[in-house]
Amino acid sequence: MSFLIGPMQKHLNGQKELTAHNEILHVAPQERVYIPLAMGNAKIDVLVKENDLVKVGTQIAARNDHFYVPIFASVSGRVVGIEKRMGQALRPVDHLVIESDGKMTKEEGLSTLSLDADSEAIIAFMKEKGLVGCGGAGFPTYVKYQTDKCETLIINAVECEPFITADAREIELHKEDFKRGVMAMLKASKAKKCMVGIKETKKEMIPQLVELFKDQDLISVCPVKDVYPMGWERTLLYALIGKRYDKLPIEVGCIVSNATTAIMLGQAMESGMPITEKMVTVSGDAIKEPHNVLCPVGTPFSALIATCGGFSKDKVELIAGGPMMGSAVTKDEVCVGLATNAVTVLEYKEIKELNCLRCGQCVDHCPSGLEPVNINNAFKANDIDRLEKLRPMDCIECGMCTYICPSKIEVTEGIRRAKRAMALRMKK
Amino acid sequence: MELKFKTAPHYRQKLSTKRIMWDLTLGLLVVYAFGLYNAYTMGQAYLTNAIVLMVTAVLVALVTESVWALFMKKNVLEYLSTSFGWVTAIILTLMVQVNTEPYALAVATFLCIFFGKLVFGGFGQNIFNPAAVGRAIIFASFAGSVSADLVTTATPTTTINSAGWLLGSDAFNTFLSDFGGITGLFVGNYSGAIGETSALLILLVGIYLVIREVIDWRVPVTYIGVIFVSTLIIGMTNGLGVSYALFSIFTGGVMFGGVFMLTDPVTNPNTRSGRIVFAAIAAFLTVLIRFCANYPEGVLFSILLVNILTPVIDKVFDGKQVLREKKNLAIVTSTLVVACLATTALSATLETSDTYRSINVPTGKTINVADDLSKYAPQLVSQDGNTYVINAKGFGLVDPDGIASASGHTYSRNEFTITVDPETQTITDFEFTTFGDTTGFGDVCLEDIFINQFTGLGLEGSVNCVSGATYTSESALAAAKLALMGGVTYTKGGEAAIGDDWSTYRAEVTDNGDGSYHVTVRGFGLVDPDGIASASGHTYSRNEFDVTIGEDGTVSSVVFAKFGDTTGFGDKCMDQGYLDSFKGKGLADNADLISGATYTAESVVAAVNAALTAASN
Repeated sequence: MSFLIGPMQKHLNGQKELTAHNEILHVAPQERVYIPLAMGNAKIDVLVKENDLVKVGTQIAARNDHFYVPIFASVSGRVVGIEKRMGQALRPVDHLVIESDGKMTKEEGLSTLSLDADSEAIIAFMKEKGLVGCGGAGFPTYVKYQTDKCETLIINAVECEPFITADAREIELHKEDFKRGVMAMLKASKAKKCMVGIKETKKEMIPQLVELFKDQDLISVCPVKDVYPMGWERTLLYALIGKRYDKLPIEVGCIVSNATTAIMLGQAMESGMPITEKMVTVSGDAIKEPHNVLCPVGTPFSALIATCGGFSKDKVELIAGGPMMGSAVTKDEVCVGLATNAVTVLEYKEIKELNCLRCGQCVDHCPSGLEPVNINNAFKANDIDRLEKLRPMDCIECGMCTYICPSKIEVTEGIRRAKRAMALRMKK
Repeated sequence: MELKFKTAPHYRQKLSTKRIMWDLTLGLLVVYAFGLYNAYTMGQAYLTNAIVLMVTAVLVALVTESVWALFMKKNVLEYLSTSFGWVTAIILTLMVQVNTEPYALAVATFLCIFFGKLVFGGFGQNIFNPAAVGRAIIFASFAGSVSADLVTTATPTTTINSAGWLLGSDAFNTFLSDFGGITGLFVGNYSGAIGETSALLILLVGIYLVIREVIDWRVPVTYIGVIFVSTLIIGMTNGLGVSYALFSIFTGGVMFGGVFMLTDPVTNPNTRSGRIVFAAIAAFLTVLIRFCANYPEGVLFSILLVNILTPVIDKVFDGKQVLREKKNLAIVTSTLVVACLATTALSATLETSDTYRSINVPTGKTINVADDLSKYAPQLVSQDGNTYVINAKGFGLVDPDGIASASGHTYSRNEFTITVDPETQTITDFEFTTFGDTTGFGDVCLEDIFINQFTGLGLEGSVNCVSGATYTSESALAAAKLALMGGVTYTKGGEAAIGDDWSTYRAEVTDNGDGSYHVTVRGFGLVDPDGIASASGHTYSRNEFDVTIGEDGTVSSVVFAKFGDTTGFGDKCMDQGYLDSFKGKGLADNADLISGATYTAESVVAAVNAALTAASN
């Protein structure tokens, strides 16, 4: 009810025309790839040693705690060793270094799966192929499907971050894989229906998808408003089925999966190949030739930037991800990971902060329904009681508050500090 | 080539605080332009003063903030451009009348910028709307600081405030026509604060500001809406139509306050529901202050009061908004309902005032009720309770310089029907029923613009003559005066029994034989109590009267023949109205004495006594 509480969303200038229709480039094969061995704080076991020979699709490592996620080589060549490099979170992280032999020989005998397989088999297949969410978070996909309570499967083809067009291009190129993946996910979820969420402004794509799924009664194409953050699980779910949940979508009987994840599943079922190659949108206002590029997992950002002509400005922000939620990295040695789908290069501008004029725009537009200005003020005043009432832990750091602030204040950063303070208190 | 670090997000929308404030400035200047035009229609000097006021306020604001910036060791230009002091100055100028003295505005601007904004921490930190603070300072300390050369007529709210806010239907229509009707109030060509008169223009600017995302539409719509509904209820329960509600929102700065002042984001709550509640409370306070505190400045003080409530409102709506939808709806709805209906309780205690003196008056000279209007010889024809039918001589019968009789036209007395409220001793109804003067000249006095002045007229009052019809105007006033005096032309000062012993006055009677008696009698001067009269050096003689006694032995008329007492004191007793009070009285009756002329009055009583005694023998 935006009369009383604000729309909690806003249309952004996406500038997607920069990469929506132009050529998809292939990044030149690099001498070495550096496969990130990081998934949050999880323990990763490396299964190969120095000088082992690997092919594309050979398992090289696995996450082995409460989730099991295998990690695969993305090029053929020789294992050099493990190196610490800067990761996307700006901390040094282990990377498995493979020296490429240039041949890109594929591993053979990889298991495939047909659509006749049942739900259990599909979920096991997801696990075996190390499928993770390609929307940016990289959550192990099979875990989501281990439930009986799903009524609706939602495929997230919204891609609400500005500049990014990777999902759109992937769907365009791999429609059959997409369809196969969606149908498999539908089976795996045991849901009664599937809704493919896509922005209503994608006027060419929508009829194509409708055509694609016309023989599937249970799968429907559902256009949603072109606003940020429509691609967020909660916002998309509310837009499609009008329900809100506390922690996980399964509480209201839904599973949400990214469209590219579906494509990856479809491709894996056909060829047996896990995720070894990524489509990454390299865009922004400080890159000479914005393009979508294809590259093996583990390619350093420097190669992507070179492929796109290099920087066009002296001072830039190199962002892993989109401009709203992506994190700026200070070295271009950071590498493409399993869940990377964009590198955004923006001109660095000094932004002058004015005093907060208490306009309430941040409150009106927060997708979580929080009150960023009050959280910031309560934190500065050390008013812990008020802070608890304001629930800063529900903030997903989507950046809407900072985006919309007319005084250009770093509102999100203030909430991050409040969250850290509250987390420390909760630990005590 | 440098890779710089910044925290997410790295994207910003175009709308900035600077753009918001400049859009607001533009809107305000448009309203100011209309104010300048309004001033221009009043005269060149008004236009000049309006410009001087704006320049003064803006300069004082900028200088104050510059000095502050220097004191705080900040870059002056940068501080000025992010502190937006000129906005406060412009709003404040728009809230004062065009004849305000510039020095008063300068002091108020300095004080409100300094104490209303800077000491709190500058832009974004103040609790009260600084322009409202400045306006309150002017109201409290500089109310009389208006330029003597620039005269303005009273504003609608001040005018209706002195008439009691709630007028009866007819009185209200007169009031409206004084200001050009509802349309006139909407367009804004009337006397008021520089920026507050044109409801139409403020509405248009308000729509522009909403589209440009400068203000939240919920605030002005709620504020104006609740005032409209409240005054509609109050009006309708007192026989007034929708024009009363429209008047309430078009005047007194309601539109200006709703669009420019309550929408100030710094001093209003930061949630949408909070802002609706904020505006509803402000509306309720405005109506309350106007009607119960009988104050013309309801809007100003309701803004300041509700600013105090902003932190409380924020606290009430604290929390995760998504979880509060139902709670918010409940709070907002109940606040709106209470704000609108609290006034039904209010309206039960209000009474309509039916007396309204229009501010539109004729252009002739001012004549006072206390003036000597005896030449018009008003007479009481009949009396029914508090309604008097009185006639008086007009131009034709007073006939100065013999012009009237020379014209050959036949004249008669003008007749009036006048109702007086005995408690307040003011006229409640005045009708010019028969016109006996010159058509084409005196009959302009039959028009409402002259007649309306008599409503609410009291003994200390005055009216304006119609230019070119002074005698007829004075004739009407003479009749009004007689009615106010209760139908008697003299101020009674006690009574005396006619049958008492009046030998001190040594009345000497001559019987004319036809029932009338010529009586000479000593007056104040010859009775000379305490020897004052002889000490004065004035020569006194006897008062002489012709008293006619009827067949029934009572007085049928008393006419004075010669006055021998103190002019200016005792000659009140020579008033025919007083002498007529003896009609029908006999020796057993009491007679009125006149206040301040007891001895002369007693001499009349003595004369009447002598005549009655002679007649009975």
